[in-house]
Amino acid sequence: MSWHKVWLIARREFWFNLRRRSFLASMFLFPVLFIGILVLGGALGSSSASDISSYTAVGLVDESGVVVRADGTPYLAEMPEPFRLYPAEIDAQRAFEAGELDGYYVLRADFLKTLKPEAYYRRDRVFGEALTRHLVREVLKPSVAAQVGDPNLAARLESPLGNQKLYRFGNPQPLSREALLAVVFAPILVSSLMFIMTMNVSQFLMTGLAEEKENRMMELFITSARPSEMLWGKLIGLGALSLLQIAVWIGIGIVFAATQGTDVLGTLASYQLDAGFLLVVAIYTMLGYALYGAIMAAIGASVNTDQEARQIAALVSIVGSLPLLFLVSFLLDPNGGAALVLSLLPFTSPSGMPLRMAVANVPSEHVLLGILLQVVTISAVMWLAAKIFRLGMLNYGKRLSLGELWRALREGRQQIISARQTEEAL
Amino acid sequence: MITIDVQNVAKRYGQKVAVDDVSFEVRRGEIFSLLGPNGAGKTTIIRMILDIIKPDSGRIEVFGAPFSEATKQRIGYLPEERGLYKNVPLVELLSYLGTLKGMKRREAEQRAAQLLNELDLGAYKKGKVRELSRGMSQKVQFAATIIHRPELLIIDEPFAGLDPVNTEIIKNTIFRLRSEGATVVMSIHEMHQVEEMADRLLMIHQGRRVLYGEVDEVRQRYAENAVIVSGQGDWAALRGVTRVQPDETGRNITLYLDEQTTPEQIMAALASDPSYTVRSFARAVPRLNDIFIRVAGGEAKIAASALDAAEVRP
Repeated sequence: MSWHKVWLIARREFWFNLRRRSFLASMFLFPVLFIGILVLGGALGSSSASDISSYTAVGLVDESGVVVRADGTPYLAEMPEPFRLYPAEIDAQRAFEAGELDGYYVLRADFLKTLKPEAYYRRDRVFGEALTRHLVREVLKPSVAAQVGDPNLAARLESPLGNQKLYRFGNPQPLSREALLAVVFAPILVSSLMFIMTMNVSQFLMTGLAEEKENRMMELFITSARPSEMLWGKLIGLGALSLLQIAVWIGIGIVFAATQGTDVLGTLASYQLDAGFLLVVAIYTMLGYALYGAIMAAIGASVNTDQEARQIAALVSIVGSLPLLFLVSFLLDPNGGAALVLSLLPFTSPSGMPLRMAVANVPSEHVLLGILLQVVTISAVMWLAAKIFRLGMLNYGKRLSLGELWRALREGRQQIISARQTEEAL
Repeated sequence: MITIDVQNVAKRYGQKVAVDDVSFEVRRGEIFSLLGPNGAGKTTIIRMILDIIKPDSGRIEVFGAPFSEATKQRIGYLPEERGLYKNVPLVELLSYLGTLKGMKRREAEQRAAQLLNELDLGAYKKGKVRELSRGMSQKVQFAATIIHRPELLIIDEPFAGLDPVNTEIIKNTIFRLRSEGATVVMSIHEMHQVEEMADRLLMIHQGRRVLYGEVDEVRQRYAENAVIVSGQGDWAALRGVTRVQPDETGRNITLYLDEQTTPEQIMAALASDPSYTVRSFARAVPRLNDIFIRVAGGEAKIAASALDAAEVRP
């Protein structure tokens, strides 16, 4: 195989597809749309989640003794807005019926057992989550704290483990709790990344192959390069393009986060992700991409329409995500049978091995065995894909049947296309 | 010097025989024409030469050796199924295909620009295939075939869909490549182009070789005992003339002769008799088109067995 030709094809695929309007649109419009939805959703969500300005007066009746002492005086010197304290439910009810209140809460005598306040309100002034949270934060908690008497004790009751610190062995810097989550979620992110990459690339591949098929270009190419060179060139070029797209998305995300006051890079640095782990994740991601990319290319060459190809591509991608379906097995028994098999099997190891490594110490021979199995499988799949690719791409305007694929592989040469053409011609 | 050597090649697809024990050679520097009706097996032969498909039996050598990856760089192929990227500027498109054939990028760009000028497409260097007419696209495809100055040019129906002006441009380019040392194999339907361009030909019918040799020799072989004259006189009165056949214009008359009479005797008779006025005189040689129709239309088996018996292979 000539790697110079692979490079030429990869470079061409990269630059050609980079200039496609559809690609540019997806690269820049997608994050803009995503951020737009995020901002809009956030704005709507936050306004509905925390906005209580529409309530002018809300009654509160305490029969439980949480807010009011036995002598009827409240624990709080001043009742926060918009709450008005009533000694009995009948008083609140009258005020409500007189239109002085938007509604009222009643803390029944068994409130400390049920922890459920009763709420009475008009249909046009529903008591939402925001108002209930306001009640808890501004009235109930301060009242309990006032009963305890010691503000520190009250704070510790609320968060008993508040100040503990976590350290990674050998590193004096404390580790944030999010960092632990990040290690577990890294494989999930990798799987998602691989899913996006394979779906992205399969989309580019389908479009490109459909164009080459439609334009009858395969005979021209096949007398200039090997099918395997074309396949590798396309996968490398389009993979690089997909990485660029993801990098642009991440870049836009970081800039957006910075405008919101979040230091993403600083947060990531605080996670202290292990370099060896990241290296293994990178290797498995690349190998997984090569494996699934080759499968996608074979699918793209075998079918006629984008739609068909994407349906099959989605099914294939599910196989790659299997370890995520077995997440619980990985978390509970990372060196058990299911996790072991899924982390070594070439079709699932791209996400399985990083997931296993995130939650347990995996013997290095397992990691190497997984890589070896991947390389062997990729070689076999590439060989197979190149044959299917060659056969499918010469088979203009027709879908390959399984019988034809089998015959082509058995004979080691693509002959069906010519057979068909000859039969038609004769 | 042999550029392509095909010996006893056969190819079957199930029960269908696509190519049946065909042998021929293409000599270096010649224009070799591959003829045959639709479905005769021409494209299968070309694909076997190019190693796109393998023969069931027989041997094919290109440049004196079995086909290899290195052979690809030395061949320019214009397939019957044509196509190019439609949305790529022409120079970029051609130089990409040139680099795949082993050219340096800068060299390929310069050659692409030069070829576009030569093919009268200089104004479209920055244009795209989708902006071109069918004939223009065909010329771009031809440019893609020859951009790397191939030693062997295999072209399938090079004039299909071209107007007379563009046909002439492509034809002249083929002649020029031949004069520069390239070997040209063309599969073609236009018989007059074969007569005008090809040095030798191979006609395939139902997968079998039915005609093979020098173009002039094949035409002579199928020539009837007849002469074509123009002028005035009582042609039927000439001794040895069995039938008089004017063409559509009435100006050229074909005189069919009996077995004992030669064209030279007729010429001598006309020269000695003042009642005849002769403006032109030529021996009647059949057009390849007529031979093609005769062979493809029923005489194929007879011609094949006659050729096998005579072993006319040069």
